[in-house]
Amino acid sequence: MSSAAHPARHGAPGAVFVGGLLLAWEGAARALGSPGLPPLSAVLAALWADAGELVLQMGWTVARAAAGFALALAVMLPLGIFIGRTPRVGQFVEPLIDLLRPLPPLAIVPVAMLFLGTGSAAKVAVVFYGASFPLLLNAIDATRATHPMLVNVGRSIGLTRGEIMREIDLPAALPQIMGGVRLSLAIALLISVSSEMLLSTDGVGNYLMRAQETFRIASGLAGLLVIALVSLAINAGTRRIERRLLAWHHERHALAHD
Amino acid sequence: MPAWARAAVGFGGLLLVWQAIVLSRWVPQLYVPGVPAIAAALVGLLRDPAFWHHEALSLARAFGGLAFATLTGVGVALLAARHAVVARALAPIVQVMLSLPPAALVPLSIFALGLGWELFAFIVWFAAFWTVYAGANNALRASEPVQLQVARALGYGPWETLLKVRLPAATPEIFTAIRIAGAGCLMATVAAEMLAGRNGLGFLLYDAAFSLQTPTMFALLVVAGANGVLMNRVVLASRGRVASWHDRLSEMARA
Repeated sequence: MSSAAHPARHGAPGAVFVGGLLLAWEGAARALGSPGLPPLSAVLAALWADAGELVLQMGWTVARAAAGFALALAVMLPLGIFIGRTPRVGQFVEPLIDLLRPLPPLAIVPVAMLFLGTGSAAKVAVVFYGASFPLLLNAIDATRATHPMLVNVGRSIGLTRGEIMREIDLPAALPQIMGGVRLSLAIALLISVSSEMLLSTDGVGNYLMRAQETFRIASGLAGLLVIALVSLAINAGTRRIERRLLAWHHERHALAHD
Repeated sequence: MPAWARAAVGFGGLLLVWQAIVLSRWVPQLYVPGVPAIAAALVGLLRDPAFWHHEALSLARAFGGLAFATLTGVGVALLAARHAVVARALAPIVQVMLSLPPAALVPLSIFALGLGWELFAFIVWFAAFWTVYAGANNALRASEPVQLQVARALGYGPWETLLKVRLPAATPEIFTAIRIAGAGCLMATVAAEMLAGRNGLGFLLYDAAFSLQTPTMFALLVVAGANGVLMNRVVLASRGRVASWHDRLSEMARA
């Protein structure tokens, strides 16, 4: 049970294990000498050699992920709060959401290609579709779970329907909405990369495809490394923003528990 | 109004709006076919044995990959729950792997594994394994102290406690992770089939789009959505078989 008792202590063995794994990789690759498994040093060399290109392509990828996510946030957050606050609309719309949700976002790629070609617009549209569901569903759920007393207070001080949604529902739902935001951001990057592989024009997904076509395995692995690093950085950044945005929420929780 | 009627009204409304857009000629019919054309294409697909061959391949890939990832993911999580060193060693790797899009692994995997079943097995397994492991690991950590004390009082050893007390208690939460992983498996299957481009639902979708058979393309999207519903149902049904005691217990607690 020591693992449950000391959750904070997992830095050292992890680092040692990763270090050992990387060393084993380098050793095995050198011993095998096969072109299919380049050693770590070759991957790092490829990373260094392609650094400029990788930053540029990753920029495209992140920009499209950000655009699709921002669009989804701008549309789905108000829509989710509206649906959650007006059950008469929700009872008809929600079965439709359940119908669309099981469709894998990448299956939309051919449709987006037909309407928008292979440029940025098609990829942003696919990202938008994939990023929408976590935002919409969390916003609906969270609004519905808002304590009725808060809304009654709003009504009794004469707030309009729109004001209640903006001034009461949004802040009250924010903790759960942030969970949806984190999920949605991760999906946005994932779909941005994948759609670039399917509609190859530019971006890090296209870089991976070209690395395969020209048998540059080390460059392909370097590309994966960059994707992982950027994704981890985005996740860490979101958590930081979340902590700041929800400071009032956590403070209140801490007070309630004292 | 019962739930199914509301769903029917919502769905019927969607079809009406779709058909109205088509009839208004805002969009070219070539790109957006009417509802009857899509329905006809769907019926044509369902009668075509070749379609069922592709569909069976896709389902086998998605479900097989999920089953394999569930067995290995829960297995490794049990090992990690028994030996904390395993959990701590894996922690940084899990974070990195969870952040990699499965589709991004396809090009390098084609080079290493070819275009055969190994490719799909690896990609779909990868899409699910880390999610299942992370979920199972969290669930197994959250054992109730009371349950552990009872196990100790009964004289259970560490493995016996793990398998007879902690694993059953964690099962409902593990199934939540499996459900999320199942959606990931379907997406990875479609993506890999589009990229590897030889067979399966993803290949059919791409093929239909490139040859401008839009009614077939939309019919295939309906099938892809139905596969998602099927995946959800299967996972929930197996949860019912394994963890229904848990639901009955929580119902008794509520009563």
